[in-house]
Amino acid sequence: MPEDRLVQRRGCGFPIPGGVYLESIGSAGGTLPGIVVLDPPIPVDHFHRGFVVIDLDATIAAHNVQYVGSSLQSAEDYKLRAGMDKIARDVFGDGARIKQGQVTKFHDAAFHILDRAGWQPGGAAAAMQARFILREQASALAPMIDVKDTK
Amino acid sequence: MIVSDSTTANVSGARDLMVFRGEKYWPTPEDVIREVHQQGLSVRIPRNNVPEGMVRGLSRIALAHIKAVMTMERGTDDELRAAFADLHDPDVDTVLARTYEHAPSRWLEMPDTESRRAIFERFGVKVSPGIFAFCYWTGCTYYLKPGEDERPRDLAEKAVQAVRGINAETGEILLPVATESEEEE
Repeated sequence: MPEDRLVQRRGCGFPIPGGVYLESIGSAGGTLPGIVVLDPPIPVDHFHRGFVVIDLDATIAAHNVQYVGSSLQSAEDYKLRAGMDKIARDVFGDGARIKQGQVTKFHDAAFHILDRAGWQPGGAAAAMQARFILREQASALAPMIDVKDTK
Repeated sequence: MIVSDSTTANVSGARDLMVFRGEKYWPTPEDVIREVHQQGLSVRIPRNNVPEGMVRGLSRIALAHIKAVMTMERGTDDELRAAFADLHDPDVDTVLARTYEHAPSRWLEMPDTESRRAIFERFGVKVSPGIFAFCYWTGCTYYLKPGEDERPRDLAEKAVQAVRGINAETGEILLPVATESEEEE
Protein backbone atom coordinates (compact mmCIF):
# COMPACT_ATOMS: atom_id res chain seq x y z
CA MET A 1 0.00 0.00 0.00
CA PRO A 2 1.32 3.45 -0.83
CA GLU A 3 2.11 5.83 2.00
CA ASP A 4 -0.34 8.68 2.68
CA ARG A 5 1.72 11.82 2.98
CA LEU A 6 0.50 15.06 4.55
CA VAL A 7 1.78 17.92 2.45
CA GLN A 8 1.73 21.64 3.07
CA ARG A 9 1.63 24.38 0.50
CA ARG A 10 5.07 25.35 -0.73
CA GLY A 11 6.19 28.49 -2.56
CA CYS A 12 5.07 26.76 -5.76
CA GLY A 13 1.84 25.30 -4.37
CA PHE A 14 1.03 21.64 -3.67
CA PRO A 15 2.61 18.61 -5.36
CA ILE A 16 0.81 17.58 -8.53
CA PRO A 17 -0.67 14.06 -8.66
CA GLY A 18 1.09 12.25 -11.51
CA GLY A 19 4.29 14.24 -10.90
CA VAL A 20 7.72 12.90 -9.96
CA TYR A 21 9.81 14.77 -7.39
CA LEU A 22 13.43 14.75 -6.29
CA GLU A 23 13.35 14.96 -2.53
CA SER A 24 15.43 15.76 0.49
CA ILE A 25 13.04 15.06 3.31
CA GLY A 26 14.08 14.02 6.78
CA SER A 27 17.57 12.62 6.94
CA ALA A 28 19.05 9.21 6.32
CA GLY A 29 19.80 7.75 9.76
CA GLY A 30 18.89 11.05 11.41
CA THR A 31 22.36 12.40 10.85
CA LEU A 32 22.17 14.56 7.76
CA PRO A 33 21.50 18.28 7.92
CA GLY A 34 18.30 19.43 6.23
CA ILE A 35 20.17 22.06 4.27
CA VAL A 36 23.74 23.27 4.11
CA VAL A 37 24.09 26.94 3.19
CA LEU A 38 27.21 28.05 1.32
CA ASP A 39 28.97 31.33 2.04
CA PRO A 40 29.82 32.94 -0.27
CA PRO A 41 27.40 31.62 -2.88
CA ILE A 42 29.04 30.12 -5.97
CA PRO A 43 28.41 32.01 -9.23
CA VAL A 44 26.65 30.13 -12.03
CA ASP A 45 26.88 31.53 -15.53
CA HIS A 46 23.17 31.34 -16.36
CA PHE A 47 19.78 29.94 -15.40
CA HIS A 48 19.21 26.24 -16.10
CA ARG A 49 15.83 24.56 -16.49
CA GLY A 50 15.39 21.11 -14.96
CA PHE A 51 18.33 19.48 -13.19
CA VAL A 52 21.96 19.51 -14.25
CA VAL A 53 24.54 16.88 -13.21
CA ILE A 54 27.44 18.76 -11.63
CA ASP A 55 30.72 18.02 -9.90
CA LEU A 56 29.82 19.66 -6.60
CA ASP A 57 33.07 18.69 -4.85
CA ALA A 58 35.13 20.35 -7.57
CA THR A 59 32.81 23.36 -7.63
CA ILE A 60 33.12 23.89 -3.87
CA ALA A 61 36.88 23.26 -3.94
CA ALA A 62 37.31 25.91 -6.63
CA HIS A 63 35.78 28.58 -4.35
CA ASN A 64 36.62 29.65 -0.82
CA VAL A 65 33.29 28.36 0.49
CA GLN A 66 32.25 28.04 4.12
CA TYR A 67 29.16 26.37 5.51
CA VAL A 68 26.56 28.35 7.42
CA GLY A 69 24.67 26.51 10.15
CA SER A 70 20.93 26.08 10.30
CA SER A 71 19.01 28.97 11.77
CA LEU A 72 16.01 28.50 14.00
CA GLN A 73 15.07 32.14 13.50
CA SER A 74 14.95 31.60 9.77
CA ALA A 75 12.56 28.69 10.22
CA GLU A 76 10.42 30.72 12.62
CA ASP A 77 10.16 33.55 10.10
CA TYR A 78 8.93 31.04 7.56
CA LYS A 79 6.39 29.65 10.01
CA LEU A 80 5.04 33.14 10.66
CA ARG A 81 4.76 33.79 6.91
CA ALA A 82 3.04 30.44 6.30
CA GLY A 83 0.45 31.20 9.00
CA MET A 84 -0.15 34.78 7.89
CA ASP A 85 -0.33 33.81 4.19
CA LYS A 86 -3.11 31.37 5.07
CA ILE A 87 -5.06 34.18 6.75
CA ALA A 88 -4.40 36.42 3.74
CA ARG A 89 -5.84 33.75 1.44
CA ASP A 90 -8.89 33.38 3.70
CA VAL A 91 -9.55 37.10 3.47
CA PHE A 92 -8.46 37.98 -0.08
CA GLY A 93 -8.76 34.67 -1.97
CA ASP A 94 -6.47 31.89 -3.16
CA GLY A 95 -4.05 34.04 -5.11
CA ALA A 96 -3.24 36.34 -2.16
CA ARG A 97 0.27 36.57 -0.77
CA ILE A 98 1.67 39.03 1.73
CA LYS A 99 4.20 41.40 0.16
CA GLN A 100 7.87 40.97 0.89
CA GLY A 101 8.87 42.59 4.19
CA GLN A 102 5.23 43.05 5.27
CA VAL A 103 4.56 39.81 7.16
CA THR A 104 5.12 41.19 10.65
CA LYS A 105 3.16 44.34 9.81
CA PHE A 106 0.27 42.22 8.48
CA HIS A 107 0.36 40.06 11.61
CA ASP A 108 0.27 43.11 13.88
CA ALA A 109 -2.49 44.84 11.86
CA ALA A 110 -4.69 41.71 11.81
CA PHE A 111 -4.17 41.18 15.53
CA HIS A 112 -5.07 44.84 16.20
CA ILE A 113 -8.30 44.57 14.15
CA LEU A 114 -9.38 41.40 15.96
CA ASP A 115 -8.45 42.80 19.34
CA ARG A 116 -10.48 45.98 18.70
CA ALA A 117 -13.47 43.84 17.70
CA GLY A 118 -13.25 41.95 21.01
CA TRP A 119 -12.47 38.67 19.24
CA GLN A 120 -11.33 35.72 21.36
CA PRO A 121 -9.51 32.69 19.89
CA GLY A 122 -10.73 29.11 20.25
CA GLY A 123 -12.46 26.60 18.00
CA ALA A 124 -13.79 26.55 14.47
CA ALA A 125 -16.56 29.08 15.18
CA ALA A 126 -14.01 31.61 16.42
CA ALA A 127 -11.87 31.05 13.32
CA MET A 128 -14.90 31.69 11.11
CA GLN A 129 -15.74 34.80 13.10
CA ALA A 130 -12.14 36.05 12.74
CA ARG A 131 -12.34 35.56 8.97
CA PHE A 132 -15.59 37.56 8.89
CA ILE A 133 -14.12 40.41 10.97
CA LEU A 134 -10.98 40.59 8.84
CA ARG A 135 -12.99 40.57 5.60
CA GLU A 136 -15.03 43.50 6.93
CA GLN A 137 -11.78 45.38 7.58
CA ALA A 138 -9.95 44.11 4.48
CA SER A 139 -9.17 47.62 3.25
CA ALA A 140 -6.77 48.09 6.20
CA LEU A 141 -4.84 44.95 5.20
CA ALA A 142 -5.02 45.32 1.42
CA PRO A 143 -1.90 47.53 1.01
CA MET A 144 0.20 44.63 2.37
CA ILE A 145 -1.19 42.08 -0.11
CA ASP A 146 -0.35 41.02 -3.63
CA VAL A 147 -3.09 39.11 -5.41
CA LYS A 148 -2.10 36.75 -8.21
CA ASP A 149 -4.71 35.46 -10.66
CA THR A 150 -4.92 31.70 -10.02
CA LYS A 151 -7.23 30.88 -12.93
CA MET B 1 30.18 25.90 -11.61
CA ILE B 2 31.59 22.69 -13.04
CA VAL B 3 29.10 20.76 -15.14
CA SER B 4 29.77 17.05 -15.13
CA ASP B 5 29.39 14.43 -17.78
CA SER B 6 26.72 11.79 -17.22
CA THR B 7 29.11 9.30 -15.62
CA THR B 8 30.80 11.49 -13.01
CA ALA B 9 30.42 10.62 -9.33
CA ASN B 10 31.40 12.73 -6.34
CA VAL B 11 34.12 11.74 -3.85
CA SER B 12 31.58 9.49 -2.10
CA GLY B 13 30.85 7.63 -5.33
CA ALA B 14 27.45 9.23 -5.89
CA ARG B 15 26.17 11.73 -8.42
CA ASP B 16 25.29 15.33 -7.53
CA LEU B 17 22.70 17.56 -9.21
CA MET B 18 21.97 21.24 -9.39
CA VAL B 19 18.48 22.74 -9.63
CA PHE B 20 17.31 26.34 -9.83
CA ARG B 21 14.49 27.50 -7.59
CA GLY B 22 12.44 30.05 -9.49
CA GLU B 23 12.20 33.67 -8.35
CA LYS B 24 8.47 33.65 -9.18
CA TYR B 25 7.76 31.27 -6.27
CA TRP B 26 10.75 31.95 -4.04
CA PRO B 27 11.62 35.64 -4.41
CA THR B 28 14.89 35.19 -2.51
CA PRO B 29 17.23 32.28 -1.68
CA GLU B 30 16.27 32.77 2.00
CA ASP B 31 12.68 31.87 1.07
CA VAL B 32 13.96 28.52 -0.19
CA ILE B 33 16.05 27.98 2.96
CA ARG B 34 13.06 28.72 5.22
CA GLU B 35 10.87 26.32 3.30
CA VAL B 36 13.46 23.52 3.41
CA HIS B 37 13.82 23.98 7.18
CA GLN B 38 10.08 23.55 7.54
CA GLN B 39 9.20 20.95 4.92
CA GLY B 40 12.35 19.59 3.34
CA LEU B 41 13.07 19.92 -0.37
CA SER B 42 10.81 18.71 -3.18
CA VAL B 43 11.66 19.45 -6.82
CA ARG B 44 9.43 18.37 -9.68
CA ILE B 45 11.24 16.67 -12.54
CA PRO B 46 10.02 15.25 -15.87
CA ARG B 47 8.86 11.68 -15.21
CA ASN B 48 10.75 10.43 -18.24
CA ASN B 49 14.03 11.84 -16.93
CA VAL B 50 14.59 10.34 -13.47
CA PRO B 51 18.31 10.74 -12.67
CA GLU B 52 20.48 7.65 -12.34
CA GLY B 53 23.52 7.14 -10.15
CA MET B 54 21.94 8.82 -7.13
CA VAL B 55 22.77 7.37 -3.69
CA ARG B 56 20.54 8.14 -0.69
CA GLY B 57 22.42 10.23 1.86
CA LEU B 58 25.47 10.69 -0.39
CA SER B 59 24.13 12.42 -3.48
CA ARG B 60 23.53 16.12 -3.06
CA ILE B 61 21.14 18.56 -4.69
CA ALA B 62 22.80 21.94 -5.12
CA LEU B 63 20.27 24.76 -4.92
CA ALA B 64 20.67 27.71 -7.24
CA HIS B 65 18.74 30.97 -7.54
CA ILE B 66 18.87 33.76 -10.07
CA LYS B 67 19.65 36.24 -7.23
CA ALA B 68 22.05 34.16 -5.12
CA VAL B 69 25.20 36.22 -5.67
CA MET B 70 25.35 39.90 -4.73
CA THR B 71 28.18 42.27 -5.57
CA MET B 72 28.74 45.89 -4.56
CA GLU B 73 30.81 48.23 -6.67
CA ARG B 74 31.20 50.74 -3.83
CA GLY B 75 31.18 50.63 -0.02
CA THR B 76 31.03 47.79 2.52
CA ASP B 77 28.31 45.63 4.06
CA ASP B 78 28.45 47.76 7.22
CA GLU B 79 27.98 50.95 5.22
CA LEU B 80 25.07 49.39 3.33
CA ARG B 81 23.44 48.41 6.62
CA ALA B 82 23.98 51.94 7.99
CA ALA B 83 22.37 53.44 4.87
CA PHE B 84 19.23 51.40 5.47
CA ALA B 85 19.25 52.06 9.23
CA ASP B 86 19.39 55.81 8.50
CA LEU B 87 15.98 55.56 6.78
CA HIS B 88 14.37 55.07 10.24
CA ASP B 89 11.61 53.03 8.60
CA PRO B 90 10.01 50.41 10.90
CA ASP B 91 9.61 47.95 8.00
CA VAL B 92 13.29 48.32 7.13
CA ASP B 93 14.26 47.96 10.80
CA THR B 94 12.30 44.68 10.98
CA VAL B 95 14.35 43.28 8.10
CA LEU B 96 17.58 44.55 9.65
CA ALA B 97 16.77 42.74 12.90
CA ARG B 98 15.99 39.44 11.20
CA THR B 99 18.40 36.48 11.07
CA TYR B 100 19.56 35.40 7.63
CA GLU B 101 21.54 32.36 6.57
CA HIS B 102 21.91 33.67 3.01
CA ALA B 103 23.27 37.12 3.81
CA PRO B 104 22.39 38.89 0.51
CA SER B 105 18.70 37.97 0.97
CA ARG B 106 18.45 40.63 3.69
CA TRP B 107 18.96 43.36 1.09
CA LEU B 108 16.66 41.63 -1.41
CA GLU B 109 13.89 41.47 1.21
CA MET B 110 14.04 45.18 2.00
CA PRO B 111 10.69 46.82 1.16
CA ASP B 112 10.71 47.69 -2.55
CA THR B 113 10.73 51.47 -2.30
CA GLU B 114 12.38 54.40 -4.03
CA SER B 115 14.77 54.60 -1.05
CA ARG B 116 15.93 51.03 -1.59
CA ARG B 117 16.51 51.62 -5.27
CA ALA B 118 18.49 54.79 -4.49
CA ILE B 119 20.68 52.96 -1.94
CA PHE B 120 21.30 50.07 -4.34
CA GLU B 121 22.29 52.56 -7.03
CA ARG B 122 24.60 54.46 -4.68
CA PHE B 123 26.44 51.26 -3.68
CA GLY B 124 26.33 49.72 -7.16
CA VAL B 125 24.49 46.63 -5.92
CA LYS B 126 24.10 43.89 -8.51
CA VAL B 127 22.74 40.35 -8.22
CA SER B 128 23.48 37.33 -10.38
CA PRO B 129 22.79 33.56 -10.47
CA GLY B 130 24.57 31.18 -8.13
CA ILE B 131 24.49 28.10 -5.89
CA PHE B 132 23.66 29.10 -2.32
CA ALA B 133 23.10 25.74 -0.56
CA PHE B 134 22.79 22.01 -0.98
CA CYS B 135 20.61 19.25 0.45
CA TYR B 136 21.24 15.53 0.65
CA TRP B 137 19.06 13.56 -1.76
CA THR B 138 16.77 11.11 0.06
CA GLY B 139 14.80 9.68 -2.88
CA CYS B 140 12.41 10.25 -5.76
CA THR B 141 8.66 10.25 -5.18
CA TYR B 142 5.66 9.81 -7.44
CA TYR B 143 2.35 11.35 -6.31
CA LEU B 144 -0.47 8.98 -7.20
CA LYS B 145 -3.35 10.29 -9.25
CA PRO B 146 -6.90 9.78 -7.95
CA GLY B 147 -7.88 6.16 -8.64
CA GLU B 148 -4.28 4.94 -8.84
CA ASP B 149 -3.11 2.47 -6.19
CA GLU B 150 0.41 1.89 -7.36
CA ARG B 151 3.18 3.59 -9.26
CA PRO B 152 3.55 3.05 -13.00
CA ARG B 153 5.89 0.19 -13.91
CA ASP B 154 8.58 2.38 -15.51
CA LEU B 155 8.89 4.33 -12.26
CA ALA B 156 8.91 1.18 -10.12
CA GLU B 157 11.89 -0.01 -12.17
CA LYS B 158 13.69 3.21 -11.25
CA ALA B 159 12.91 2.74 -7.52
CA VAL B 160 10.65 5.79 -7.44
CA GLN B 161 8.49 5.64 -4.30
CA ALA B 162 4.72 6.16 -4.59
CA VAL B 163 2.77 8.29 -2.10
CA ARG B 164 -0.75 9.63 -1.92
CA GLY B 165 -0.64 13.36 -1.22
CA ILE B 166 -3.00 14.67 1.46
CA ASN B 167 -3.50 18.40 1.95
CA ALA B 168 -2.38 18.97 5.55
CA GLU B 169 -4.70 21.97 5.90
CA THR B 170 -7.91 20.28 4.76
CA GLY B 171 -7.19 16.55 5.02
CA GLU B 172 -8.32 16.11 1.41
CA ILE B 173 -6.54 14.01 -1.20
CA LEU B 174 -4.68 16.22 -3.65
CA LEU B 175 -6.45 16.56 -6.98
CA PRO B 176 -4.78 17.65 -10.20
CA VAL B 177 -7.28 20.46 -10.68
CA ALA B 178 -6.63 21.88 -7.22
CA THR B 179 -2.88 22.27 -7.57
CA GLU B 180 -0.56 24.85 -8.99
CA SER B 181 2.23 24.26 -11.43
CA GLU B 182 5.54 23.91 -9.64
CA GLU B 183 8.28 23.97 -12.17
CA GLU B 184 8.77 25.70 -15.43
CA GLU B 185 9.35 22.51 -17.35
